Amino acid sequence: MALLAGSMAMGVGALYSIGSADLPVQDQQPVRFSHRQHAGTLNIHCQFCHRYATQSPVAGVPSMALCQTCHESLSETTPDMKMLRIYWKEKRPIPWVRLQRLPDHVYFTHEMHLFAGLSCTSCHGNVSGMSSTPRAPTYEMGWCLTCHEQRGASHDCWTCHK
Amino acid sequence: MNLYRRTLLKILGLTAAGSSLPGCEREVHNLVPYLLPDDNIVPGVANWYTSTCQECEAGCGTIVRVMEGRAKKIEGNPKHPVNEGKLCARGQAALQGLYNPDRLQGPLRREGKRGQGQFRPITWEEGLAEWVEQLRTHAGKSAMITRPVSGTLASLLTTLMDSLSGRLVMYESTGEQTLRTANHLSFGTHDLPYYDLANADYLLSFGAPFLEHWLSPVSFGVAYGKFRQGRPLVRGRFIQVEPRLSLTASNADQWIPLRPGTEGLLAIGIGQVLLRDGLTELSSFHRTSFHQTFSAFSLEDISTKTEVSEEMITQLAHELTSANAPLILGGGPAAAQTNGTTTLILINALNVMIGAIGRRGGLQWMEPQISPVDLARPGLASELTLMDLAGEFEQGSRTLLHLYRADPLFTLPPSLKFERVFDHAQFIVSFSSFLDDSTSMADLILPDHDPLESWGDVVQQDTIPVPAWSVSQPVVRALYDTRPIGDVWLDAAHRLGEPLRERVPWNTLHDMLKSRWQTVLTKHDSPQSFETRWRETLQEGGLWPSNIPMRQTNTVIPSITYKPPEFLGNSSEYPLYCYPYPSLGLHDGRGANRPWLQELPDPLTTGMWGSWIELNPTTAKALGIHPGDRVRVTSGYGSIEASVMVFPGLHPDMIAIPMGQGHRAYGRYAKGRGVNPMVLLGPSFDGQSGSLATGGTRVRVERIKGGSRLPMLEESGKNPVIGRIQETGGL
Amino acid sequence: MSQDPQATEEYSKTAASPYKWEMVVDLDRCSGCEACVVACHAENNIRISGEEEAAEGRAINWIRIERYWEGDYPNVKAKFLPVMCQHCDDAPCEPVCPVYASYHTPEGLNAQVYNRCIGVRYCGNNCPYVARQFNWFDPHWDEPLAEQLNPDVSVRSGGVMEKCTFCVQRIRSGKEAAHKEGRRVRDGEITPACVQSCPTSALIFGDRNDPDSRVSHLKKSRRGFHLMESLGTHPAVTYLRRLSE
Repeated sequence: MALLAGSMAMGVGALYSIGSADLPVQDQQPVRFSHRQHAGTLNIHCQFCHRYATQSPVAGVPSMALCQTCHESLSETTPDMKMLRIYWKEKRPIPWVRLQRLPDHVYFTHEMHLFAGLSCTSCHGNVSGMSSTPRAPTYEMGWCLTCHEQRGASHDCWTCHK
Repeated sequence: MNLYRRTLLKILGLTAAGSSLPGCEREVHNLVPYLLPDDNIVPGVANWYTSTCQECEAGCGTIVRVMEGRAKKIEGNPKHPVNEGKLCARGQAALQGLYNPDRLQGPLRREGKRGQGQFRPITWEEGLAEWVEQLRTHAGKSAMITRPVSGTLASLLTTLMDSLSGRLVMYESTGEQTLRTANHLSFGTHDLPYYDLANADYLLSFGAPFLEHWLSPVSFGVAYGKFRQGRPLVRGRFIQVEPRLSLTASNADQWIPLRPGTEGLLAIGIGQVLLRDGLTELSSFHRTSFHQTFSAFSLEDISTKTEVSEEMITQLAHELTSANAPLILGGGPAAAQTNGTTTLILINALNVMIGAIGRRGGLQWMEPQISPVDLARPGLASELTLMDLAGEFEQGSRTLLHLYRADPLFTLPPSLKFERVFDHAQFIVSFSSFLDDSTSMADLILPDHDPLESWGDVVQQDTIPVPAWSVSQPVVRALYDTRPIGDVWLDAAHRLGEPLRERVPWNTLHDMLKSRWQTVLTKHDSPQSFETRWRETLQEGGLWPSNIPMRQTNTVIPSITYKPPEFLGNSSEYPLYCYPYPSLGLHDGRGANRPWLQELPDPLTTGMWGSWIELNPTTAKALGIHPGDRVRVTSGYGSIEASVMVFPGLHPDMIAIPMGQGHRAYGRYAKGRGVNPMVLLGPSFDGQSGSLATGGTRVRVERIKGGSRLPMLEESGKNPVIGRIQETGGL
Repeated sequence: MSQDPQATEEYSKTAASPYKWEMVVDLDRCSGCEACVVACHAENNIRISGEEEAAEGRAINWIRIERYWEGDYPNVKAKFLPVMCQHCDDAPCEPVCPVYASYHTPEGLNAQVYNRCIGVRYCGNNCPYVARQFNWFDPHWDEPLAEQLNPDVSVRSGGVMEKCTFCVQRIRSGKEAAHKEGRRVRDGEITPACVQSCPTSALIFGDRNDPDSRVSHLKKSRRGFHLMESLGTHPAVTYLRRLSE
């Protein structure tokens, strides 16, 4: 039964994320990172880790060394913290499963959206309350356009299509 | 309507799900963070690094766009004095050398017989040990053929070959040896002048392909733009004289075809009119010799032999002297004859007569400068020098051959029998990045890094108004298990022990480069530390001192006796002159493994991905040959087969064939494609410079069965792309 | 150095007024060297078609050098004409697209939205300049050639029409840089790849709405003309006639 549900999900997945192999089963991250802990409880600013957001199209995944700046001095209280330590010791980068994705024909830049005064939560939701980050709802064009319309941003196709 | 469009898109989506969408094919499903942050890399943001183009010897400065460790695009360095931010097709295609699928990925040892092309991967230690062993065995008997290199690498190779009593031969098939020889005989200096095209207002060019590959094509391109439209009230006038209408000639206001090899005669005619009509003031040094030289033939005789009318000769002479800053160039087909050097000296004499020497808009030489490397550019070898080297191998005084980015088995005519070097060499080591025709014959291959992965410097001290000492830095990390040739030689030198180790104490070429630059950068009084100055130099792409004074040049042109061109093959059996010309994209063949250049349409014929034979329409008609017909071209030395393109801008007694195709190896894009016109050429030389006279062989053409479809932008398929624009406003 | 100070003032006052991109091709400078062609391939992820596809007339070039023979030997001339999408103000390709994949941007660019294109090729048939080319197959790069691909430009799949965009990705990033500094794009700040590479500076790009821009001055030249002017397509590419006696 689980197998059947899995293959059904695969079918649907293939339908909606064309050509991609992103399946819900993959959403298990190699290390169970909690945004609630980091962004919520510890109140670490988004851009402390995603540090390229204001200067690049991509926000960036923090380097392992950046994780280590804090984790170095922390005792390993959870299995995941132990995992992190193992990755670091073995000098292996963590293969995070990609949750946010835009198709190749879309041009999106974090830089200009932050410059326009949007906050991270406007698009990414209140991640500081999420212990396990879910797959992003598909960033569909209609969803983008609604916001562009409300804010008087450009509607020209070539603003976002490349 | 909306609903309809949505449905359509959804259906498309469904079908697409089954196929592999190229956009998604390469998409990453994991986000892999850096282990350690690299301060220089902001993901998604491009960095630009300076470098120096090494696709030809012009030494254009480049900037390379790098994103997340990958090189994306090469553009000209806007601050560089050679190319002022511009870059030619070949320079930009250097990326397809770096990312070429047929690049050698590590050291290789030959398996089976030499030339069978079977190699097995070995480790660097194995390779180096074997090579050093061979260097010991063949002490004093090694030779190296390399593409021209300059700067630190040139200095290293010269020092090492010197210490090893080896012979270093720098060879470039379009090295303009004829021009260098002629200029040396005319002006007593080995430095080529700066031809100040941008400030000239009249240009007479005897075949010089300066917009294609001659000396420094991008630099000339920049100057040409200024020559035509860079000055508010002056538009330079440009006349090109040559038997085939080249790309350069297409840009001329007038193209004057003449009989191949008679360019020198035409120069005599023009000089004669200058003297006859009192249009030139000669110094006492030249008076007697020039009067003698330029009166050797009657104008009528010259006109008959060159096929240029007397009126035209007179007109050219008068136009030259009525211009404010006339300039005369000579090269290309004019230099590719047995009398090439003489022709170019005659052209230099004309430049003297019109007062172009040392003048703005004329020929200028700068005062020699102290460069970061004491050795600017070692002399280039001519084809006769290569013949001499071949003799040494035959006699056994040379037994160990090194090859570096040179492919003599492809670029030299088989009639020169250069394969004897490979037959007689007891061991062959190649440092090339590709299995080209010559490297396929190697016993050991120790592949070099790509220039974009390497440290290096290029010294350019002639053909430009200021010296340019440019730097290359590794803009991307090495893709494969290759090693920079400089490092490999230093390693070998250290293994060979004293006295070599002492002469080249550095561990890497980078160390050597920096130590040499240190002497120059600290020489100039500057409060900054070397490291700061070095960083600045890397950011700028090099060093180019300004306000260099021009040097006074003494003209030492001797009394010249014109020699008519000689051709191999008698005119009854071989009625046509054969002129192989370097292709715009593939050059002498080195570009043939880059798909961008293979697919770059030849601007005049629009041909791509192959070879063709160009025939004058009248000649083709007389031979009963139609465009697209397959023909066999035969000389006394070999024959080739290819399809015909009728070419309106060609002397009726001549055929022209682009060089660059017909490789027996050199990777998937080049191997077995088209024909190599060098097969046709006989051992015909310009005696003074020792250069191969590529225009010195006669051929015959006959139609053979079959026809082949050559990709052309103009006539391909059912929908030719070119020629549909009917109204061009008179262009 | 404006010829019309009033127009300049008007232009700078209306900081929000749109750009109108224009290219000028000076045929008296163009040498036909095709540096632009390779620059375009490198910048815009243009596929390598290969010998067979090229022989079918399916090689893709967003910019090409057309060559025109004139006269017979020995009085023969070859003249070059670089042709790219003319970004017509009244573009014949736009109204025929059933899915609005081909449309006109507010800045005067003739755009093709690849993910919208369904490949009916009406636009290509209707383009008098043969500026649009169709992908008959998915593109392919032998590894690792694809490492060179520009991430700012999408790779077009089979079944899609493609064409010159005036390097919209460069326009976009130029505008973003200017926007962040609260100013308009400076003249010459944005150069499409072909313009950037051109050794003789035969190609010039800029904002036609800026009366001081180089293109605004040049397009008024007496040498100026448009390709197939009689069709009334009102191209955004102005050619300057080659001079000859």
